[in-house]
Amino acid sequence: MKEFDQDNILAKIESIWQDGKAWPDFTETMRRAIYGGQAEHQQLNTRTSKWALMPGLCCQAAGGVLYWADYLAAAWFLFYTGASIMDRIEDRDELEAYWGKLGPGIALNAASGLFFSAALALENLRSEREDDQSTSEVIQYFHQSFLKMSSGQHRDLLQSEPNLDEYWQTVSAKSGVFFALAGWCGARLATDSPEKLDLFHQFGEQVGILVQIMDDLEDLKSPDGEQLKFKKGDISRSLPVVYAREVLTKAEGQQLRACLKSASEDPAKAQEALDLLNQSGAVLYILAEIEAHRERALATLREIDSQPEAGRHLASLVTDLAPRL
Amino acid sequence: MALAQVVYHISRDADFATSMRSDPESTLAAKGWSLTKEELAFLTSVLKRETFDKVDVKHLARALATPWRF
Repeated sequence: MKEFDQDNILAKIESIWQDGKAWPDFTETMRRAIYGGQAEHQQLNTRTSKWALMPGLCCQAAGGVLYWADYLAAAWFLFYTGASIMDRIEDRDELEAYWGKLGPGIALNAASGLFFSAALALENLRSEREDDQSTSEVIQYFHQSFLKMSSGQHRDLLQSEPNLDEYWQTVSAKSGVFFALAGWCGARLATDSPEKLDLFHQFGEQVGILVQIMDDLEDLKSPDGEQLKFKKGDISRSLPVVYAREVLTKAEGQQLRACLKSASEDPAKAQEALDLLNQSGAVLYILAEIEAHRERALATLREIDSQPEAGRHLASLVTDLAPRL
Repeated sequence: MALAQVVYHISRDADFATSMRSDPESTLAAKGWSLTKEELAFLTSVLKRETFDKVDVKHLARALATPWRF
């Protein structure tokens, strides 16, 4: 298999900015968003490189060639980076340190630039493939998926304390749709079989749900080593907390809410909240959900009967993300 | 949301946990709950392990947390 050509995709992104006549200082800001803390080296981190493979691997797994999806991968990655910035600002999370004194206004404008860069990448995909039917369908699917994700984000922002049903609906509509998009669109460049495309969609959706579960656990990590303090930000929408609110008694639920209010400042309250989560069975619940989604993703992959090498790489994306404990 | 209820009862009700360990299908049927095959297989295997109780939320987060950011 051709190795993931990070430089090839990044060169395509650079040429989009150059052809689009983005001003140099704005280009540098968008570059900073893409490379994160490694902007000086113009290298994506290992995890980014691995995930950016997904559209190409799905294309290959469906019988195509990895590089057919280069512009699609570029568009997916650009949209992702822009959406990630907007998500942080909308959720009032802290922006990454590299934004420094630039602030949320500049970050939001960079996100807009990344969205339009992604739209241009899709147009380049159309030109490269000489406007065939599959490309039109891919572009339509792409934009419809982001409309669904925005709908999910809208609902998410309005629900300060979602119940478990609402939580899973939002996860499917956001992270699930985003990764389903990589699966379906990557595969569509190689096949028009509705059954096969549906399986790639399902595979991507399960991956996206796993990604969100792992991200939710970040909220429960203590940033100061052994001293227990939750990160600032709203963890009331994290899976362990949503689950616990669902199953705990009313009095325990109120105790949990009270602890979480001051858990970012008070280690004793953070510990009390953790004790409640542990008593609720949150660990077992989360492990059961991870197991179920991982097994569904892997079973779907087996059903696809994909090109073996691409299939192995896709399987390892899943097992690396969600290892068995 | 049967899985959430089943897990909560396993964690809080020792008799229910024992019953799930010995005859999960009948135990679930008695409560009117059903699980997917993946969920049932996982819970059945976990209930047979003796080390499971030692994993808490903090350890789980340290072992598995991965930010959405690629």
